[in-house]
Amino acid sequence: MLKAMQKKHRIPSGFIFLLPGLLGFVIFFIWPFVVSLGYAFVDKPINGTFVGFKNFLDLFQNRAYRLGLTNILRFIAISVPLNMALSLGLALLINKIKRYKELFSLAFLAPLVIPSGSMVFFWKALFSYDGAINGFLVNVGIGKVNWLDSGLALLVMVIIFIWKNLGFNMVLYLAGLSNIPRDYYEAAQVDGARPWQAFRHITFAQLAPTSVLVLIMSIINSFKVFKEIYLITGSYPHESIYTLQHFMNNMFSSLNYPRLTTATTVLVLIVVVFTQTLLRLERRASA
Amino acid sequence: MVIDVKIVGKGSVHEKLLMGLVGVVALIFLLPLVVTIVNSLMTEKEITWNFTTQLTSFDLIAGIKEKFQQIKLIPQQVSLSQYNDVLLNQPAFLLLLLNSLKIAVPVTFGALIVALLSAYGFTVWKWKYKEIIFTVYIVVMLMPLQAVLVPNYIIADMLHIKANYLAIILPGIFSPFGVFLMRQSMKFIPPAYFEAAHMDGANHWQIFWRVVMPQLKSSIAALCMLVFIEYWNLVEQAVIFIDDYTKEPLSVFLSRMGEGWMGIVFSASCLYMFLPLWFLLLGQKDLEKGIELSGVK
Amino acid sequence: MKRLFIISKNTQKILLICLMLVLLVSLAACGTKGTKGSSDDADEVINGEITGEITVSCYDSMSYKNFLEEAAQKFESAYPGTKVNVETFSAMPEIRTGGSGNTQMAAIRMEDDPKGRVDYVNKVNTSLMSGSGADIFALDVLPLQKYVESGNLANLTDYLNNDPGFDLAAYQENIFTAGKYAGGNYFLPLDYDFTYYAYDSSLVPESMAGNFGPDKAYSTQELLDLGMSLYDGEHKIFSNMDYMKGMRIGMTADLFGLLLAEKYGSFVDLENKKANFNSQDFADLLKMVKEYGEEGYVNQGAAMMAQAQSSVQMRPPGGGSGGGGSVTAGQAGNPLADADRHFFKSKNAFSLQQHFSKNSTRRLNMMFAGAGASNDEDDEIAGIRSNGGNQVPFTYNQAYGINANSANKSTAWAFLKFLLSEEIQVSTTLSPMGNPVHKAARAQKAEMMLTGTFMGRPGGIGGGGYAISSGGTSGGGLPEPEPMDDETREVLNKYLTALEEFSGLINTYNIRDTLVDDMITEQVDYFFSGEKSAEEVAGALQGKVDLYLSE
Repeated sequence: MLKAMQKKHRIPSGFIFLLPGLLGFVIFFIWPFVVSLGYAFVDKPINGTFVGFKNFLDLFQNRAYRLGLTNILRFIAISVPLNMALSLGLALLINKIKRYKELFSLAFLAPLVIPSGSMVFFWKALFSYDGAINGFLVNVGIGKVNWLDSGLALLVMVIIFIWKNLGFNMVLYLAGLSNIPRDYYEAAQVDGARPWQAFRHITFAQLAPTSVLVLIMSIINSFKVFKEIYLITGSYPHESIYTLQHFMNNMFSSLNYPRLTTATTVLVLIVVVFTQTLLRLERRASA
Repeated sequence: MVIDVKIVGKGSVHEKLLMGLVGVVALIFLLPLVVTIVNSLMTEKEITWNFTTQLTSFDLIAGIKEKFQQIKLIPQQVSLSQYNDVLLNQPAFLLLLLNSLKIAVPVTFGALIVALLSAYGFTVWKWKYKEIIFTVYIVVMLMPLQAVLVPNYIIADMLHIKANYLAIILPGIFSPFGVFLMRQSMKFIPPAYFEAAHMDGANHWQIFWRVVMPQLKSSIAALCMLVFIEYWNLVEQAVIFIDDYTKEPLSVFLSRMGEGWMGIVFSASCLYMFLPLWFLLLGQKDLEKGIELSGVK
Repeated sequence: MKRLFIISKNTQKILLICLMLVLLVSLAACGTKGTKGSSDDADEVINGEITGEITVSCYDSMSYKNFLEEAAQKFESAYPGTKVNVETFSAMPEIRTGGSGNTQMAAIRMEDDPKGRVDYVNKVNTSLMSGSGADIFALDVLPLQKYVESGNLANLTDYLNNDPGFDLAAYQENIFTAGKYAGGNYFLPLDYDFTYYAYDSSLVPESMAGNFGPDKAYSTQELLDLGMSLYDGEHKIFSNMDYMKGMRIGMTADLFGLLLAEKYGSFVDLENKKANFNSQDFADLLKMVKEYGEEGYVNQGAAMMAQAQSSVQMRPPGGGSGGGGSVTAGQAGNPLADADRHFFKSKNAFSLQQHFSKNSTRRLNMMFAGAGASNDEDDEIAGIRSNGGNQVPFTYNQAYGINANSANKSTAWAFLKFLLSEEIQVSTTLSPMGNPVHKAARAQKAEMMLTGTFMGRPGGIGGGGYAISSGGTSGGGLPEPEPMDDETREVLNKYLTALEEFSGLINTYNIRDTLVDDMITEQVDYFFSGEKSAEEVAGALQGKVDLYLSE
């Protein structure tokens, strides 16, 4: 590498394109982030003393943290595959429709633009104990259900997540589908491949980069659904939907910055392993 | 059923069934939007009636023991009084709307430029370890807001841009999300295109403009839309950095509208989402175009 | 796709780099940490130079801001070279107009929404966690105990004791002692307030009078037990509301709150981070209070009124019963105002003055809009409200703490001292509700209140919406100030004696966690509205509070 640089005596042009963005990225994200990492090793944010890895040990012994971590992982495990499957299915369906394609995708994209403030109002009117759904259930003769303060809260959270994110992921899949050359399918038909075989070997394989995109977007958004959930149920919701975000948010409110950065550091490590695995998978799939 | 697009004829029973199915699902997704718009046309009285479940003495006389919130799709009486309240009685509304634009527009454009350049850099740069840098981008992108706020504040303090829109705009411009999205989209461009252009003697700028940009139309539309909406709806950063309430974006004002504001919350929401909705309509055409373009081959 | 979670070489490298970075940074962090914090030495702060700029941060932009700005101006002229910035959290005020018939109403919404509070706390938190922040914090909405635990507030005990420029004896010293938390004075109240109970002498037999007086303290439970033994099946034990603060104890849900406060420690142990709602005690307490309602001792249900609204209603001159443009609280049409008699009434320290002046010609009268006349002719002092076990708490309207990380502690302390000085303590912009901690200022203020000079001064009515008037029961405009006569002087002396007796009993400050309180209120409401059983409420609370405390 060094030799190549010396031979050419010039900086690679790709790097020049990257440089301005990278510079800003380092200044506004990496550097302050690294600076604040130091707090993971002190006991108090102000005049703290070095405590080594004690914060990490404490963190893993913390019931709230473990609950939050398990819950967010469980939520991701349920909602992300579900969301991906649904958006792929919907994209395949819409892909078959000739007319009003834009109209449909527009309808599914609409949730993106509704401000979460008014959405929260809507969800509350729907799911609260005296909400519209319970009104309906009482009229039908089933009786009231405590949607937000029981295990069902997880279901509500999944519904809100899917409602908000299905549309955009579907559009991504639509774009990915239209990128697959038609002759691939024709060739498969000639070879006598069955529909699901063609799906698996052509559609699925060709959609790998899209799927990675959708997957990572879904995970980001599964973190972001916290905003709505927080506005609906507050800092301490039912245990089934107490996520890592709740934990971090509460650490923020109680000024426990060392614990917050410790949790962040652990999250960074988890995400690094996850992202690397994912990128490897992507490379393998598209190779 | 999945592969063969051609078999389904125009207007066949099959397709009508499909359309019906997708249509129903689409309606469910549209419901909150419709409810918001319909409610914005109701009078404050009607909204309060629909969304309060406290029993009045009249209910007790009528023997009603419990009441539920009602989501109505047809107003008893169409009224523009809410819009009147928001636009005429809250003169600050337009000012705040302008503030929102002052944040969202620069971020959108800046982020787009940075994302395109960086993503192109990542695509053409042949360095062994560039994937490591890219991983760092993804990791930062996945960090929750609470983890990023304090570092953001520290840097804003150092650069003396605290209490200034720049404290929000600059991190927005350099945020890794756009780079990620653009890089991922550039992966769809066949490497042969680059090689061909290179053979023809095109330099990087020319390749960037003539080969990459046309291919990315839909992704650019998507990125602009997402970034704009994200910064249009931003609350937390604005709360922390902006001291003067006349400089707050509309989103912050809207987020503080509690139950006591029922009378105007819907009309304010409608006005507020008008712009993103309009962009969605605009961008959606581009999205479709981009899809068609790349699907031609 | 065989091995999914293999850690590739790249990943290993990244992890290694992360680890190295972390170690490097933590070492660097240690190095810089040591140099700070040496300014904690109290003597250095006390003797330091009073100069430069300081910032005072408060959430409230009405009473706190007015008061602070006035004080800041005086401070700046007393200490040339200083500058005091007052930072408030101000949200866009909402102006609403509307009305029916000939009454036009304009309401200015004050920024007291829960979201605004959270936003303010987050803002202050971010600045503190990044090592900056205001020099002085008003403790109006900031969670006090969290700020102490995270070491963000300076311990002022040494300043109080060692500063020769601060005469501790001039103050109601036990208030400062009572305000200690975790062994230190992390906040200093400028004023204090307490609740006392009155009894209706027409209902409580005269033989019991010896048990009551301004030197006695009673817990709510004690009075409740006493009331039940006297109960006649007609009059409720507690009246519905406190005169000034709108604190209602006559309804079961509200009574529950008070009784819970007395047993709070057995359910929530904030220091050891333990919740204990699962023992039958909590469910039993809920059921017991409900039973009190069913037996008729107190009114049933939760208060129907929304929390005291912050809207201020302006009536047109001449219109309405309030008369000459008075500002009244937004509790119009209070359905709970009643002229019934009750065995006991909960009253705020400010009504003590009313108590002593009620039979004099210069009757000091306070009123809530729509509260109507209530029977207080036969009221006698029962005792100050305690938590039980001789713990008598106080509350404050304004209190301040110093940022432990402040770069200009000397000036911050000087300003805080200035706020506690007699000159500022008699200020009319400091809440008229509370009693100044400065004893001479307290007496002076009481005198001004009785003669009407306090109200006569501009800015006499600050803060929330209440009307204070003297001279006649019919309300009406503000009377002209009158000089002290013998009768008024006697009232004043009696009042001050009782006030001093009560004040001397104060020995504690209830550090309550607002988050836990909110959780309890929410769940308890489910019980009293019949949505959940007592056991369900206890179970849900155990889960939530335990989760919170284990964080």
